[in-house]
Amino acid sequence: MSLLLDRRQALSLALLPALAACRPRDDGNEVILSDGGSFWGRAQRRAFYEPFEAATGIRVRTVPFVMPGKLRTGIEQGRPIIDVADMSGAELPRFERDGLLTRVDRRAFDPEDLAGLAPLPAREFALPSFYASTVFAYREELFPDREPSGWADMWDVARRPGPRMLASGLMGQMGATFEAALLADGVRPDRLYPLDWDRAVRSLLRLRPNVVKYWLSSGEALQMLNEQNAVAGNIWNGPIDTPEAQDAGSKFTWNQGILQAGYWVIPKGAPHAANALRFMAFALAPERQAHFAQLIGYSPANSRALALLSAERRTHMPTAPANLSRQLLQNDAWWAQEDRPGLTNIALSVKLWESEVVR
Amino acid sequence: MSRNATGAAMRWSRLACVPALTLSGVLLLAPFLASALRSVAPAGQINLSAFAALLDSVFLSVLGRTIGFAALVSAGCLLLGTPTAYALLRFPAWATRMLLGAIGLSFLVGTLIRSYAWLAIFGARGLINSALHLLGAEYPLKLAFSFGSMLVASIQVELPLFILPLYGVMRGIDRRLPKAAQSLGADPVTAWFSVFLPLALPGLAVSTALVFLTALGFFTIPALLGPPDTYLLSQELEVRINTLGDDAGASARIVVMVLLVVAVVAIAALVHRAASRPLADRQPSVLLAGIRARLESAVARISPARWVPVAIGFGIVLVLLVLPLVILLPLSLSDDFYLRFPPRALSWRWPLAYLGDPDLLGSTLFSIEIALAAAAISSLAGAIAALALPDLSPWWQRIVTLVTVAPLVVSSITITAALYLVAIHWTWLDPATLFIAVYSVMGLPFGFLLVGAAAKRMDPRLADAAASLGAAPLVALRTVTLPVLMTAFGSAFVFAFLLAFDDINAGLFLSSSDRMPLAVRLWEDLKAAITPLPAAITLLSAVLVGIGYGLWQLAKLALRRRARTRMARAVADLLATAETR
Repeated sequence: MSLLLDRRQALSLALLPALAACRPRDDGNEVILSDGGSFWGRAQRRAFYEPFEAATGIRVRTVPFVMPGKLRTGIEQGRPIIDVADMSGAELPRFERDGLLTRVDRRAFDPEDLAGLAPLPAREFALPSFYASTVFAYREELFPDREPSGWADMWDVARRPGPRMLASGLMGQMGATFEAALLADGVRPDRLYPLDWDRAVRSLLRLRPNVVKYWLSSGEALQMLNEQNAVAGNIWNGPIDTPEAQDAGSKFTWNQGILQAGYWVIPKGAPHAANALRFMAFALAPERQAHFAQLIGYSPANSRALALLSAERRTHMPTAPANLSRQLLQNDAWWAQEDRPGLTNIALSVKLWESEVVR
Repeated sequence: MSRNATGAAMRWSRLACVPALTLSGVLLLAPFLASALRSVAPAGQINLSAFAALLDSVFLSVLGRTIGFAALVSAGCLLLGTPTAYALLRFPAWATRMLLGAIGLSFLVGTLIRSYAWLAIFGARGLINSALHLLGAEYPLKLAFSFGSMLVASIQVELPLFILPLYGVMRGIDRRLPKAAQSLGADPVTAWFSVFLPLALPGLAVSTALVFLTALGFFTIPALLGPPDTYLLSQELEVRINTLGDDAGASARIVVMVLLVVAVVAIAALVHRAASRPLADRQPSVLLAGIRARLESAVARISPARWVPVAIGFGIVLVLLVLPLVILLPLSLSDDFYLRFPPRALSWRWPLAYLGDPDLLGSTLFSIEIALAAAAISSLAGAIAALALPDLSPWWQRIVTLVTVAPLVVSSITITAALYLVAIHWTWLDPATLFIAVYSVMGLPFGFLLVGAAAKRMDPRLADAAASLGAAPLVALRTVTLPVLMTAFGSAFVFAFLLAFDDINAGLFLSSSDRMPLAVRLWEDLKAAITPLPAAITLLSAVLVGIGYGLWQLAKLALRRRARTRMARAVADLLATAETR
């Protein structure tokens, strides 16, 4: 591309005022959905939101990903700001238990789509929406010889020196940092849960002198790796499995990746609950799910969509059988448990992180 | 007759303060009171467990670190900003204009973009490392994600806030006083330390307090540029609200932050009052006198070169201000997906990505709408309160000033967090309106302070003359006072607009299901991928602002001409009436 505009670009400039003039009006014919920003957000818009608008005439409005604390407060006050929220599987059980969600009416769905939900099935108050994996990513020059076999390779700063990055524990289970720390310390994958907090903290402190950043967003994590501020770290597979990241010399392995499920939920009191249900039924169709999986490396929740992907594209999917066997499924039920009164393991991990790691 | 007039003026004045007091009362004071209530009685019964939990957690160490950080930022501003403000007073006009221009541009570009620009300067593939690489350095230096980079970026963001008020005070100091000291035999350095500096002390106290208090609430810079173990108050507060949903804990933290602000303001006020006494009345403390003597002798030794430190400070500040602005240009036309310096190729990729994205354009329009509305409301309410202030009783003056200026000293993250926790009950309120409301409060101080200062400078006899000749207060306001104050009002409007356009703290908590302000959307996008997009948007808006500025200059010219003729006519009328009497 040069600095001179071609005709199409000039045209898009000329159309700008027209674009700017279209503004959403407020009537009931809409649904408020979550926009995960950048890669994820773009995939959501292209694969789900825009086709849904075109097919149903229901206008989609978006808000940035709603954090669980804020979502809970909104529902408890009778004022959720979103119709279909994206929720981590580990947050889900407590929202279900506290009666904060709307029951998913199965009659709205194609039975085959519901049957296709795998490896995790539909729940009473939620549907799986996609799978992501927190994987070990690294600069290609760090492992010229072999593919890393797991997190122990990341902790091995003696053999492969260089700054590391880690998902911040302030995000609780989202960055799977505690699991990575234990696996790196030699805990066997089948004995991972319940997590041994003391051992995890010791392992984290061991790596700490080499950590240049505890990231709070995948944007930061990508920046760290692609710009060589860090040479290795954990990150979600979606942002790292892109041509841009490969182009910048960043790679990743599925080995010991932590598989995480995302869910769609309709908050209790959602302003457009009926449209929300229609949206979920629409987006669960294999074609839509496959389109999503084309745009970002997150697996479709509807396993029937995998068959619609090319063999090459399937290698990018966390739930493709060859990749699935190399990863572990995060234990959502355990993370949601209140092992100490009034404190879920998620909240406990945040407090541990505050008091032990960033102190 | 005269008592009647005063009574009427008092009544009018109290009425004039109602908009500002209401805004601040409903959106600032009430939420703080609610937070205080919730923190001591979370479930309707007195229960101090939230505060007990504070003492029990990492809060105290986080608090200590935050205070230390803010103190360092203040010290940096004191060290660099003081010589710069002085230089603004004495340096040739072109240098002054350059620096003020850089400050103006910095305000235009906004905090988020400037913090982001530092990433492109300090990053492993950033400006400095690329330059070093060209010079033959091996591995990239670890500049970003360090305490140093966080501190530099923070100081840079705070410098304009420090320099402008101080410069205002210094400009008010009679130039002849230090000269007089010299003519009585003091050497220039002694004259500076014993006459000029003490007179500038009130300004130093105000500027330092402002910087310290706003730095306490920093969120984006530590998050973007800080080292791995950065964990400051605002981050801890955000985790309480967004991740843990711990309302009582968040409320307790808000209370502590507000108390901290009150303490610092009280200290600054004491210093201000002590420093504002006439020089002759002051009892120099032995300690201070000793320090001053040391300083004087140290400086006297380099007396011939006394301009060197001033020039160095000025130079550093200029570079700090200009660097993040300059780097945005090549970045905005970069063809890369990431921040890389220099870009591998130039293209319109990112400006076009912005122009082709209806979501971003919609957000831009939304931001402009809320910022315009908020700026209009806040600058009007603030200005009216400022104009009415002199007619109020001293007690009312104090209350109005405190309540109106409070949003400047309480960090915006504290304000919005407190507001969020109560506004969630206000189901009747449209979320977009809430954005306008919160920015109206945050913009209040600009209208109040800028218009107030301009009014103070204006010859008060003009309005008095109009009043004594029987003009109703409103008429006098319209025909005499307002035209003169137009410039101050215009600046207040611009500041309030920029503040609303730039802020992301409100967006952290107050999500609008309507639309998303541009800065919030950019922040969300930056969280997912750090691209040259924000730089490209800045470039485009700079072009727009350039056009707008040209139009504004034309309008100002026309306004001034009109104001001048109107003033002339008003004065002529006054004189004519006076003569006939």
